[in-house]
Amino acid sequence: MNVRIASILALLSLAAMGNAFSQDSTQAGNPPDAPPPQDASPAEKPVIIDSSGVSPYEKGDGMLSLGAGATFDVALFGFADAAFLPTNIWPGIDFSLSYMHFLDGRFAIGGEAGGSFNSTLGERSFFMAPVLFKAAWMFVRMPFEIMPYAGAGISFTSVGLMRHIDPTLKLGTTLFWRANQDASYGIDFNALFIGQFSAKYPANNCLSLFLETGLVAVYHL
Amino acid sequence: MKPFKTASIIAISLALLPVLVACTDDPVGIFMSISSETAIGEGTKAFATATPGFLARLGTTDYTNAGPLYARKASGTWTLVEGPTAELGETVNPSAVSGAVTGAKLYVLFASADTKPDSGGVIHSGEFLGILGTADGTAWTEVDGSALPAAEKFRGLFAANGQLFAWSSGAAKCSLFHLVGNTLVSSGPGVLSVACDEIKGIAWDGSAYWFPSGSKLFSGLPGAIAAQALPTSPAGASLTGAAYDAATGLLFSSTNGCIYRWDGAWTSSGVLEYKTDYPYAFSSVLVVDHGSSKTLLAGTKSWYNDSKTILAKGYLEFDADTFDVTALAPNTLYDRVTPSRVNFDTSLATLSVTGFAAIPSAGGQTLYAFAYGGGLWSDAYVDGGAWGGWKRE
Repeated sequence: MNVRIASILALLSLAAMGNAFSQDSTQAGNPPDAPPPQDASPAEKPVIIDSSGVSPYEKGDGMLSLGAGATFDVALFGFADAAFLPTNIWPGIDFSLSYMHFLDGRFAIGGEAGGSFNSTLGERSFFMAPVLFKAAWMFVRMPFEIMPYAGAGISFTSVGLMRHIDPTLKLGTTLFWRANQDASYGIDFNALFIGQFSAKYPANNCLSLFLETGLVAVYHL
Repeated sequence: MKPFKTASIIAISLALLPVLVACTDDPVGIFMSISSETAIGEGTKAFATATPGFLARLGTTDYTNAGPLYARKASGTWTLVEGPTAELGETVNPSAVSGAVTGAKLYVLFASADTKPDSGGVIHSGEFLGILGTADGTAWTEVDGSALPAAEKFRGLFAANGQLFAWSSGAAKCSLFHLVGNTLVSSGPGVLSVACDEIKGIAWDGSAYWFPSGSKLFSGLPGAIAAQALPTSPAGASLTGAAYDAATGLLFSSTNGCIYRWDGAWTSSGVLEYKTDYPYAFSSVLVVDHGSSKTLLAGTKSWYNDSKTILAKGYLEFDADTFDVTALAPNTLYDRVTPSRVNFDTSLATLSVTGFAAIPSAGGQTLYAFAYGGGLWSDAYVDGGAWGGWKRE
């Protein structure tokens, strides 16, 4: 399954890059000070790669993001002992697919689904698949964009034969470089808080913190 | 998308979130389970995918098999033993098929490991070579096995109560022999070239030796061992292992999910199932005496006598302090011979356990488990203390 997802990610990334290169070649074919083509529609979007702080987004725009990177389980807090406990989860890999929909030129909401794989001290495989609703704010200084965001939802977690569904909170930011009006590439940093609570076994109540970082490819819709 | 619609979706989704968030009833949470993990060790490389068949201690040295014979002196590492290659006329260190210690000697059944064809193009790998004994691990003396019927080959060794037994099979018949001096003699007309399955274990109950053999069961004293009737209820008994302890009596494991007990009459557990209509295929039993407590371990394997398979589940453990075979229920916490269930989950839980050995040591004992294709595992206990947990050897 992970191979299939990786293949989809790779294909979408290549598609986005293809658009980027084709746009670059089109722009390279025009002299820097050449007037716009005569057949350009008045309704066509303006050139957006400038250094102003004006947002290139407007209500109804969308961003489809694909990301992959590394995940680190850095802390585990046990509520029963009110103490930090060993995480025993080694660094792993993660991937995500996200769509954000702009409600205006700055604010966007959307969703994200992803997954991560880690091995553990006891040589088990830990898998986690967060599904989140996200809200983001876009700061623009072309060709760079910074998008801090917050997400809330659930994570499907498993190790060995154990399965769990846990409430999840994600806080992070993505730094984009706008390659052209269709594609951006960036680096993402986020913190993922996963709570695990059981009314029947309160000794298991805990909060786990993962830090994730990775590369992101964005296709602007 | 209109704002009110978006807001509605968010509100409905958030309202559904607590419904979607569910917790399993597992007494150990996922993160707490991982947090409790301990390193299970890389283990000896040669054991990684091996299926050890025995573990025996001679003096202060332990011996096991992973293809050839391996030895470990107290607190040392496992090292390859150069077996009686020259004595057996071989050029390649032979495979140790089976082994046992009685008295002051280690006896090993060797087979050829030579994979090169001879001058006639015949490959002899796996062929029986002989049963040899050693008192020091280096000087080997061949046991006289001339009583072996012509159509049979020696297959395995067992020891109990200071007596060594060897069994042989061929053409759907098997024989049982016991060691007298340095000679193997027939253990009884009742098991000399009779139809039987593999002889899979041994138990001494103070008055007789017992040998489970799938659809057969043999018992008696050397020279007079004969076939016994199998339990009939629950039906489908196929006996795979035997153990005796004063607290539990004489117990037999079976591939139909039952533990049978014999005390002049048969009683049994219910059919213990992995899932509906899939009983555990028990491979062996061992009663562990640790401090003031006793625990019954029943190894499980992932295959039955037919082609049906299930997921490997390690072993089941039972309270043997207040033992009643008719009310046998596994301890799902798996904490009787481990520090916690997490140790079981990270070690043997997904392996087929084909057998156990318990080796006493100064101030405690060490349990060994043989995993099918999963190597040798050990679990040390300190008297008055606690179990260290399963680790790879």
